[in-house]
Amino acid sequence: MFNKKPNRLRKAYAIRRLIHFVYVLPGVAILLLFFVTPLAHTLKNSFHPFSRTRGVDASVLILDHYIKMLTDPYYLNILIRTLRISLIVTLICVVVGYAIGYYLANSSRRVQSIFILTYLTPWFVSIIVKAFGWTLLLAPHGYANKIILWTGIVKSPLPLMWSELGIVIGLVHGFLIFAILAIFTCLVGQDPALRSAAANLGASEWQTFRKVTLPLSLPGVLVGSVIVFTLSMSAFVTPTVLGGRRFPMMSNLAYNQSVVMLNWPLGGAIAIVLMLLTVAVVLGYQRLIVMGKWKVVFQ
Amino acid sequence: MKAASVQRALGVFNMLVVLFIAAPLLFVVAVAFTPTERLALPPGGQLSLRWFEALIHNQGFVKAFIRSCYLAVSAASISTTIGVLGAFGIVRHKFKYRNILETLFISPLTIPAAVLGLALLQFFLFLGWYDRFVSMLAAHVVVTIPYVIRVVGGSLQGVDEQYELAAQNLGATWFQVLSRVTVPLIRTAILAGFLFAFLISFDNVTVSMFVAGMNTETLPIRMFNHVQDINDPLIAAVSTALILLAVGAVVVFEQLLGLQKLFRPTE
Repeated sequence: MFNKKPNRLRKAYAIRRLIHFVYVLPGVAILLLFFVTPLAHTLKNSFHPFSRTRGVDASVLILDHYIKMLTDPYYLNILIRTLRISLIVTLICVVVGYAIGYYLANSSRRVQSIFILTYLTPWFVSIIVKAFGWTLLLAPHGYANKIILWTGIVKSPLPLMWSELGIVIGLVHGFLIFAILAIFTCLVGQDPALRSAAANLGASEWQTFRKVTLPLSLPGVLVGSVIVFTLSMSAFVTPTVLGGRRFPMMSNLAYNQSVVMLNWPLGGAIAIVLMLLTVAVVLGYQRLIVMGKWKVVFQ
Repeated sequence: MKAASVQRALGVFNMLVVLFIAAPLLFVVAVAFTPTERLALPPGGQLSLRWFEALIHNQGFVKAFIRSCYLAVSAASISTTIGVLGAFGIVRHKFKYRNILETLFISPLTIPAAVLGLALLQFFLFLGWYDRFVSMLAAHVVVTIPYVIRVVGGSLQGVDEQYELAAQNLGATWFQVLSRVTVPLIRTAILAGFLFAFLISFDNVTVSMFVAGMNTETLPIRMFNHVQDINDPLIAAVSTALILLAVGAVVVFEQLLGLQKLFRPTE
């Protein structure tokens, strides 16, 4: 049927296709020049040796920086800390986000809009403002510690800031909204008839939740956790301000090695490892959608 | 437990989480009105605007603010133009390599900001473009394009292609189709995409931290450096201004798009 299209129409379609192709070109050009090329350049540089006196030697290719990154306890520690913090933050965000998402999905539309907007507003606030706000609360003489000391539970200020705890608090604050939104959209889209059907068939409320609502909301949980995890992995400002010098994460390490120490190859290698980890998580999640035991849920 | 009591308990929990989310921002605003020299709550409820006054007279912050505005407007204009065209091409066309294109356009959002910043800085040093406005501009365009693609592409999917085909059939040129049919149909989304790009660029810290030098210091970087060095309520005053900007942005987006509609499946 399609090849019987009148000639004129076929020509019009061909022109349209050409125009659409032209439309994409400026974006492709900019991204090739200022996104793909810089990344390729960094990747290439990460295989070159570096010495303090002679700088980067572009004539030799080595794997030393990657080996150092993955065997030297100092670097390995930072990698493990980054993974640990990201996992903890993801776990907290998903559990808290589920509770909030569940509450909002079962609330009136008015309550839903009020709180979605409330949770969204801090997302539009610069991360530096949020981090600064937390220093007011978490510093040794900050307001959180004042309240804790006043209650008399502890005698000396808690290390809320310049610790991993401070980083976790800051990151949960920043990324909770993504878990809430992902889980809320998933829950609110469920057909209420499913729950009534389960109840009609004699399921208790807890059984209905466990056997119907929860499995059906897993896509939301997964999307939310992937977003929170990858964002936490790449956190930079929050660990700098709330973690201080003693608790760097991968992004801080990449910054210190390249911008401060000027060791571009090693800084690049750290960045590449971080990028590969993040991309692996995203791809793994896409895999999980396509196959695996949750396949049914995602269809 | 009955569903109603679960819901009530979750309601209380929700208020506690709201408190957790709002607390640091409320403290920032309160501290900004302190009459004292130190970062502290206004003692005895005495409010003062002295730190806002100090802010207006602080050359460093004013310069950084103007530079940030200039940069964000330029970056948002470029990425909106490129993004609208790109979204149009990706959504309307069934290329063989459409998926690859889509991934390319979105990927600056997926890779860690520090990785992008590091790669760009290294690349700009290599080109001899360090500490130039144009390098900051290029970086911010790359960072903001995915947001424009998302917002405009999403809206474009909801517009029937038949309108464009009809116009073309009636003899409109490709430019007329774009300017008289498609763009008016997705006007709101384009405006929202521009505002989104503006805010993302204006607030960007990580990529800018890598790429910016002395002459290209933006407002967030100025704040970052200030927070690291000096502890005075000046930073709280800037932050309060930025929080107001964020609240304004949410109101505008809500009017333009209906923010919650974005996150609710269509009924």
